[in-house]
Amino acid sequence: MAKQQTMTRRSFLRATSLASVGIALAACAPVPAGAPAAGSTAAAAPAAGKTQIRFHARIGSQEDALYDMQMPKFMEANPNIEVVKESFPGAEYNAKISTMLAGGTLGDVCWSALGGATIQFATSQGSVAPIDDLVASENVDLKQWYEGCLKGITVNGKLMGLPFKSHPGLAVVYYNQTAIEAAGKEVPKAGWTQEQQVELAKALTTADGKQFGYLPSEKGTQAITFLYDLFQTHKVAPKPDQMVGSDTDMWASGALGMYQGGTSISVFGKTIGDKFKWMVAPNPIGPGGVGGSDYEVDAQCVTTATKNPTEAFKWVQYLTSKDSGIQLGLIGGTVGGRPDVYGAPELLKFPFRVVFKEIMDNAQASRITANWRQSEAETALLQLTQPLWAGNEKPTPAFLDSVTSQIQDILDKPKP
Amino acid sequence: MATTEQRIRTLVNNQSQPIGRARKNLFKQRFGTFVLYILAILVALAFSLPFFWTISSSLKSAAELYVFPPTFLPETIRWKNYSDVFSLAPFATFISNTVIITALAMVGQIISSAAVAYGFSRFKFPGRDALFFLVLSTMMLPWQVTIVPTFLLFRYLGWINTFLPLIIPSYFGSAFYIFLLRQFFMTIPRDLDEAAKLDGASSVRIFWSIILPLAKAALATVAIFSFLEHWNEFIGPLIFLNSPEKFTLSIGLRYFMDNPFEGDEPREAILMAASLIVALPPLILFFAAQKYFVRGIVTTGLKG
Repeated sequence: MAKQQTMTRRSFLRATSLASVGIALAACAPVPAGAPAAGSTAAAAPAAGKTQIRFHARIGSQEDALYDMQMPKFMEANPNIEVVKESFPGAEYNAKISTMLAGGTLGDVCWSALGGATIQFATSQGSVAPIDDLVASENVDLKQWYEGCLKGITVNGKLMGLPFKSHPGLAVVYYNQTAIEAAGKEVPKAGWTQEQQVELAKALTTADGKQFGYLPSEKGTQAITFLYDLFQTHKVAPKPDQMVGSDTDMWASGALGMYQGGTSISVFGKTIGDKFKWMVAPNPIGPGGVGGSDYEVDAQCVTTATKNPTEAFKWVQYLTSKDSGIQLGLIGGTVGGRPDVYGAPELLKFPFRVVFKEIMDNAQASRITANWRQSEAETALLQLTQPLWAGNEKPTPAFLDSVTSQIQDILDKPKP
Repeated sequence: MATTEQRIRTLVNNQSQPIGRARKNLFKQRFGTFVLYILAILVALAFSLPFFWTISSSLKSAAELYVFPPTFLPETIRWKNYSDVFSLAPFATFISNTVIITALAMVGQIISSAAVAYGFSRFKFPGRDALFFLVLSTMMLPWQVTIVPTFLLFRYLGWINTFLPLIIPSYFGSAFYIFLLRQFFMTIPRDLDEAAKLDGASSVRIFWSIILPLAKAALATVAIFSFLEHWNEFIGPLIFLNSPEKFTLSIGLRYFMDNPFEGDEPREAILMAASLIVALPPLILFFAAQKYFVRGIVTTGLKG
């Protein structure tokens, strides 16, 4: 009888050991000449004669729609350039860019922003490159964009990108026109005062708690006492325990008579539908004689890793062009940071964009912390002032001094 | 002297007392069970309310989602949210990518972890315990510590923007599953191994034909955990994948979420629909594999 062939444990171990050594030797073998370098992440080799530009985009309904619209048009106008879009979730975008930079896989064009000192961080990290030389060599007229926007993305005297989207900050008061008319009041107009706003908010606040007159933004505000009065004295703003969902949830559901927001809140018009009529007004004039605003800018930047800066800059220019800026507005939301976009007839047919233009043309300069710790300071301010809005503290000099000193500790930290 | 009638009456009285007590005890028992059931139902409802709210929200329009006060049942059922999931993002691609990665990684994790666990549970060799503790100690390393060298390794290998970093590491075992399976294998009597050896079976044959079939419950447990781990994995795909056509469902859900500091058109209803689509396979798998848990508890493989 033939001896049955069985694999013993020893022979199995011998075979797997030999196989493992073989695999290890193969992995350690040098890369043959001419083969692509390790770490290459090109989705596919570009077509012959074409320069491939890897563009790191944020996932988002408005921006995705714009990129899908503009990419074919750009590549048709520039047949020697192929744009490859790589989209990442917005909340993890900065971390992804940092990872790619550290791993040597960063592409050619990326998004950045003034908000949260993102572009400052990106500059110090070395992921975005100054474009002054490219602006000069391509004869780009920088007057196309709002000066305040350009200043916002200029770091250490160098322009780090071109303005892609821009708005004047939380400088807009969205108001429920239906509710105001039902209360027999006049709608707010440019130049209205804070006292008028408080009176209107009181008229819009119902006793049953189903509608509040006003929800201000707590971010970046100087007038803590004014805000405190809205919450606790006049009781026209919902306290934290009275909030149902997010602030935009309450606005879209009609639970707010007025709401302080940015230009992007206008997209909720589709959600509101016929529920109520709404319109916008600038912030009321405060004691300082102005309504309060500051440039917020999103930028498209050329990365430090690009090997094709000229082609990358062409794509940046296309994304920040008048056409792209208008398309952003037609899709819905914040538009390009250009006067010719804010004043475009296609957009001004929407009445709220007329108000946006007036605010943007007169917006104040951007203000970020000198040490770039904007997010840290804003987060701390929100946390420290929560007891005020909840009614657990009053804006006494001692309380405000405590908040100020803790914020100052953050402002005294060195740049990251 | 008591009459017969009196004696009978006394007997009947004595017997009815235990019967009455028994009835009382039965009532107490049933009442207690009833209360426990009510409590269990209430707790189950509380835990499952977010899930039912997700279902309800997935069938509402965006405007209805923001009604104040909120309503549980949608006024008009909007099935279009589910088709929007596939039209607004390449969700079908995300599903197929996730299925491929999950299936391959799951198979690798089961086979490799079972093989390693078999070695640790059945063989005595020098340094076995130390090696086992070394394997267990890798569970103490947080992923934040290993992700950087791991990324650099895969970058060197040219695996970035491929599925390989998400699949291949699973073929090298997982400390938790090795531990779980080792403990289970140790409950399987060695009598079976010895009997098989007497019949001329090798260790590999014993592992394949005896240990694995008896460990179905444990393997099903590993399969479920592994499936959930890879189906829901977010950090790995985020770091290693760049092209949208390679994204998985966890990143795909981000297509329906707003960017921070910016108001996009609200898509929460579509996000709820997408979330349910993503949650469905794990739910089905869990209910399908439940029976293996029960069988595994009562079966040890010994007969007679």
